[in-house]
Amino acid sequence: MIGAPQPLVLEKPAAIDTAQAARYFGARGTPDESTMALLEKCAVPLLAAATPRAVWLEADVDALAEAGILRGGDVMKHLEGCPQALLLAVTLGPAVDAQIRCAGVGDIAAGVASDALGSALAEQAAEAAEAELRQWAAKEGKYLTGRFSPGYGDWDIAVQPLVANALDTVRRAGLCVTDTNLMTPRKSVTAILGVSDHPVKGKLAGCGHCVLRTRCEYRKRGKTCASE
Amino acid sequence: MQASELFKQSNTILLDGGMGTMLQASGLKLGAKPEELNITNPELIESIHAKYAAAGSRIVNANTFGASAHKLAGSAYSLEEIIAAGIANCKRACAPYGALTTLDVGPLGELLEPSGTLAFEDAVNEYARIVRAGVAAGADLIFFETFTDLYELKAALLAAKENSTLPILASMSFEAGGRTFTGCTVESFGVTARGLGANAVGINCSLGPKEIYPMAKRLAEAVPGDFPVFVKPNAGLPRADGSGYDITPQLFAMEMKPYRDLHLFAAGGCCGTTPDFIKLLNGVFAGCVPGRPAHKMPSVLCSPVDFVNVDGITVVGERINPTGKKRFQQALREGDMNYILEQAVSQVEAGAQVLDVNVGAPGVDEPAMMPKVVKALQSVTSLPLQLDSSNVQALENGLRVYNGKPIVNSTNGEQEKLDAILPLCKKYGAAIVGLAIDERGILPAAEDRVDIARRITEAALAAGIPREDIYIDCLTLTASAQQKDVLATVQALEACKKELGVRTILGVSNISFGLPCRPYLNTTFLTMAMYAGLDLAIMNPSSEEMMAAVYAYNVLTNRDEQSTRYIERYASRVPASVALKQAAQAAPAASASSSSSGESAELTGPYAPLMKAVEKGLKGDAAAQTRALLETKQPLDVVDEALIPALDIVGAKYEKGTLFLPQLLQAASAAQSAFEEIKTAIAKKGEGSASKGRIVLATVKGDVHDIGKNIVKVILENYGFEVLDLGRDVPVETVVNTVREKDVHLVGLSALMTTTLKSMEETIAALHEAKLDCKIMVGGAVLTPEYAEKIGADWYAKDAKRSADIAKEFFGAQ
Repeated sequence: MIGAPQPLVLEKPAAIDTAQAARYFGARGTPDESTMALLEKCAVPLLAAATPRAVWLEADVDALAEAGILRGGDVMKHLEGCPQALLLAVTLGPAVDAQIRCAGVGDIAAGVASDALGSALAEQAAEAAEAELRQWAAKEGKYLTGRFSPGYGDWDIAVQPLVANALDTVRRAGLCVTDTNLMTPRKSVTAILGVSDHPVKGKLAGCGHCVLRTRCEYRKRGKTCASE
Repeated sequence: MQASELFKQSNTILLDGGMGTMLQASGLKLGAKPEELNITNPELIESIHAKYAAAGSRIVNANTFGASAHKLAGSAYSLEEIIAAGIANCKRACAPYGALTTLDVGPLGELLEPSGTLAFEDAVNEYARIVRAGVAAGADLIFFETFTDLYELKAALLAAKENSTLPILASMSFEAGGRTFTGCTVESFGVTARGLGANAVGINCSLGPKEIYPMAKRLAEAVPGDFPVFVKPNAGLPRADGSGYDITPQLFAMEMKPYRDLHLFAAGGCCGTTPDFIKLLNGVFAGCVPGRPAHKMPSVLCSPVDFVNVDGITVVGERINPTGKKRFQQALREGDMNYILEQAVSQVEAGAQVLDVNVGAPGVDEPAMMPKVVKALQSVTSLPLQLDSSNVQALENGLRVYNGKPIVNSTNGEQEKLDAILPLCKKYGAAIVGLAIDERGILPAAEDRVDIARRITEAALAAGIPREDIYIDCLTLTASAQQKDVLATVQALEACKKELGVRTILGVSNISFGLPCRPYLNTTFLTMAMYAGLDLAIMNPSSEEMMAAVYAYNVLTNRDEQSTRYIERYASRVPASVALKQAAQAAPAASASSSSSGESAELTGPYAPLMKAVEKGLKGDAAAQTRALLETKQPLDVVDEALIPALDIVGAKYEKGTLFLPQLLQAASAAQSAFEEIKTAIAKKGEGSASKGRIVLATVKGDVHDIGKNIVKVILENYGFEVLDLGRDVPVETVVNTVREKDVHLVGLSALMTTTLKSMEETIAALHEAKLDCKIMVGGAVLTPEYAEKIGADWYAKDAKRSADIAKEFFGAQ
């Protein structure tokens, strides 16, 4: 069974997590004053431009596998012990992309800062959506794993159109997937969460299958992208 | 019913209800392609259509909503086969009831540029293929529905008008806030779709009758009373448990009753509705006569997001115009879109409401440049545009790609000109500026200019352009040359407004050519013209005197109620003259403090302040220091002695890890603003360029992540290289052709994703195959030096700094 897609009402966060955005921007440690000032300035129009939307569905893991959505060992490991799973898509909408373009006109620092802010806000929106789903699960007496997204570990990014199609994201959220499996609007997230009747943690893929494993700046510093 | 009788009905017509709902009820698997059933199970599809026709639907949608190449990818059937079968199924079901069959067309499932990668013309072509298939299959009309992107709807409407003569119904889906996912307003949709030749406009899906009603009312008000409007709401809102929609046929009928007041041309249902819902609508709309009383139509210009109702003085920014500006002309010849966009963004910030766009200059292919600039502008601003050209082809090319309802500047009273321009405005739904001038030139007497204006107005009306879309320009004469005729312009303007009932427009700043302190004259003339009834003022919104006149005028004529907008703009400001005095007093103090707080104590000499400004990433300061240096130094010396050394210092610190990307980029932004001053100085002198070598940059086909490429571009430009930036999602041929045509010897390619590395490889292979004398550097998060070598790149650039080193190395060795 693959359930029907349902909308998830998302409140726009009151502020963008500029500390997180500073990290995406490339700052290390405590960012300097001018960097934070730039981020604060760019955050205002970017947050105003965002129209977060989310859609999700519940499905049997077997049915998702059969539909070709679950490819690769890492995502299957993540879903171990979960007969069901939730598919989730979140997007900040196209006006965020437009604001990033606009900010970058004649000012590359503002453009890149805005892009980092967009990424931070997309993550916040995904977190908010996940929190909603956890409430739903608690009400149902169920437990959820963490989020796991296409392209992470060895979960083939080529499943992206299938995920979008199952969630009817074009019609329900204005979220499209290109022929090269990229999501547009760009600041969007898709993910799967395992559902079980007992507490489950899921299993993050680790760095073993990551395409960036040889050059990752976090790894060079003995950290992971999840830990910093 | 015959299709030709469609809009002459004496009663609201019933449309059908949900198709997906019926298919799911009969066991369609989620993710399956419902359109394939037209061929694999025609009986099922026909039976659903027949149920709707029996329930009273007289316009029935064939099961062709998702019949597009993208959505049918992987199907065993072509879209032509699916459409032919779908139309045939529907026609068989409709025949006994005399109902009409639509070619039902939804969005393509791909996001258009600029947010997505689907090019506008490719979307037009895809829709053309769908429309031709529908026409060949014998559809009675075309129904575009559930659109959320106005640009995509425009592509669809152009395709329909250019490939068929069938009536067109156009419908978009709005969220509760009254906008679509892409931010399009109800009004922008109504005005634009009508202008592009839709025969009826409507709202469908997303919400139930109750939520859609206020939007439908707004839609009805955005189009003339006799223009057909329809709705197809969902069966309420989705239930929280995902088990369908929340209202019954009876409740739906009750919530549809208020729509009688809107005198709809047609009504039906969308998701969740069934023949039972439609059956009850017979009673709801019994005796309801389509068409509303005529109402005064506003003069509107719009983009999807911004809707400008030209009712009173409206500011049109004049700065996107190369006339007399060498730096602008150079930017156009070099295709330097960033410079042009900066002109746009600064005018938006200054308070412009519409932007005039003129790209005509010697050595510029205007018909090719206009659509490029229109697209680029619409990717960063939502202000409506005024397409300004004397080149008919440039106007048409710009009109075609413009998203929304623009204004064309201009035609005049010459017959030849009217014949060329007016049909274009009609086809693309644009407003028109008519210059009160003809073969005889500018006539001094006001009456003569009004006569020409009358002729233009009549010709425009005859061409199908409504009066509210006609803007007459009575021509500003230069006070220094034709002082005695200045007043005639104001008198003619007033007469046009009163006698012809049209809107008016003037290029205000022309008044002051050749005289000192131009803002004084501009402002006074603007005030006179406003009082005579000027609607659109083409002016420099950065002129605070003129903007203040506009805001003050709106206060004094009681348009700006409670002076709200005036107070909002000026509450925390002081008048310009006072501000200048204050700045003059403050200036010495500021420079003293900046010289005492220098961190890089080792920097001394004339270039030190600029270098410090770049190092610290102070944009405004860097530009100001550069302007000061250029008074005594050669532009190229400033580049070599200050900018490049400063960037080298920053670059070295970045490599050492003592500063990071944010500081590097802020330094780059400061250098960017310094470089802009240098380019302006060089263009003014008219000597050569600052280029140390020409480089093509592109984010490869299929990839939309261009931030990294943009960083590389700015850094390379800061080092004095000329960058031809081809953008993102760049086809292989575009890279090859540019390298060949522009004689380029260094190419930089970027790709962020593993999935797009293949495009990078293909681009490199094509460059090699074409035997072009060029070297290639590549970069991107997932690339490795080994992979770069494997796909035939000459260099792997791990970051922007490295790409600048490669360029220096390459051009230094040449």
